[in-house]
Amino acid sequence: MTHGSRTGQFRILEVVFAAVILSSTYSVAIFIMEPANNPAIRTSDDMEILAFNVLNHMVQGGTFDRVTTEENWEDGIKIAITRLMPPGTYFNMTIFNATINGPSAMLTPLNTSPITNVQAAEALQAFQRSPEISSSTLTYTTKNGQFLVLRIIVAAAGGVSQ
Amino acid sequence: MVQPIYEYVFSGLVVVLMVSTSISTIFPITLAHLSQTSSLQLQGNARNILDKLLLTPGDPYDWGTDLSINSSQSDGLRDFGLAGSLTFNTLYRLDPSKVERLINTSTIDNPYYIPPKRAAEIMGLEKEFGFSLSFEPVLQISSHILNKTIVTRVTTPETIPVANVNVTAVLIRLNSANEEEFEIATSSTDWNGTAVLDFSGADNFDSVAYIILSDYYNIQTRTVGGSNLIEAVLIGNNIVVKYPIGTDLEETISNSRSPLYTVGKRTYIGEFESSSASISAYQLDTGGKTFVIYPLSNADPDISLATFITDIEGETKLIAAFRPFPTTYETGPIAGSTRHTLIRLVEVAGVSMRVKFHIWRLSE
Repeated sequence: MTHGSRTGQFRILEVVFAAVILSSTYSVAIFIMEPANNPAIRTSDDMEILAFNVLNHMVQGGTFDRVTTEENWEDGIKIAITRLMPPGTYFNMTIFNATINGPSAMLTPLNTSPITNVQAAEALQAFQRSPEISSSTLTYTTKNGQFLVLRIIVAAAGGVSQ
Repeated sequence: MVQPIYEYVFSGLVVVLMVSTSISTIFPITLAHLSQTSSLQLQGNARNILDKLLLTPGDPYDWGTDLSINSSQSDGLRDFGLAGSLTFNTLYRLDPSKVERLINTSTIDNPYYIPPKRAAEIMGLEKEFGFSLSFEPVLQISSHILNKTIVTRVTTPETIPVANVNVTAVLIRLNSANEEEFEIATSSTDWNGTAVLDFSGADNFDSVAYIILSDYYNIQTRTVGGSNLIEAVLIGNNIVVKYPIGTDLEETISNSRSPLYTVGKRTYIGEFESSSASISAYQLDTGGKTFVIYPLSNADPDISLATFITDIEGETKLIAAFRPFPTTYETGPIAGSTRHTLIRLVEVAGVSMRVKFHIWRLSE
């Protein structure tokens, strides 16, 4: 084997080696690249706006003035929120009575039964598996001077098992 | 001499293979990222545009009541927004007089319609985006007259009946002396979402107009109906009547009589003009059609029904103007591979509505 032919073989090996490195770099890059359009990030802002939108709609109509005046008001509010939310949305709402004591406020839950459209046994799983979850909090003073803190957690139904 | 040629040929082939592999790998990745970027940009645009539509009043801020802005003349409209003007501005409460400008269907002839393409042009979207805005009441009511009762049913849009809804019906009718009278009945829906409103005390049920207002924990909606009347529409604070062809309009206008009843969201019934003087009105000719406009200068902006009577060729007729529901307002059929949808809750003239907003790029 002459000196020239050996040089040629090395050149070929160099090119093949370069090609292998290049193609393996692309292959790895494809797998490690995080999709920029993660739907959970994309729509959680929308869920937050929706949660605020529902609370705001109910507050403007004076719905929460009924809280202390009606029996089984939790069921009424639960059905109302179910109607207001788009289909395929889970929610869990807690209404706190805020008592101002000096510089601090003590929050006591007012609802004695859960205000949610998810069964208690499935609630944790439903919210954990949701691809989109968000919350909104609003403060409201009722006509009789009660200071309420309204907190709602909303989640899109669905998602994959973890 | 032969061996170097094989080397170069082989090296050349490997280079071609590398370049083609690189292009075929990079190209789809770049395309996917461009598409994702475009989708994210569209999402941001969708939010901004919808916020602008629902949370700003437009310019002039009271353009809904400005009748010089209409389907053929909309130069005065400098900015487009549906929020209430300053007098009753509340978050996500839309101005009924502006929302009505979006309605023009086969059954509702609206001389004050603003075409969606004009709205897109005002907002600077016409070259880049298409949009669709659809309104749907959160609760729906159907009703019909049965003898001297009104049977009503409240359901969700998915036709699930809603129980325990407070229902109020206001009935305006011509009595046996051909004068206007009104009656109110209230009830609550049963497990099947049905409520029966009884007007058995009415002496005459031939010519009636009614409105049913329902309320479930402040989710409010309404429906209207009637029989043997001339239907008109309420656009802003104007009753817009398209009288039957051949009607002597001048005589009809001079025969138009008070009382003029209005039914709103809070005040269930209001007698608008108690004098017996004829109601001031004028004719509007647009698009080859003639309308008679009866302005209600001081009416509550969220009235949903207004009635009065007039004599047409010796026969007393009940005129009932209903505030129409908006449905879909779109620049064209929803299209494009990149599109985005947003949902919001709004209130229009006392009705809780879900607004679905679709936006897409025209270039895709």
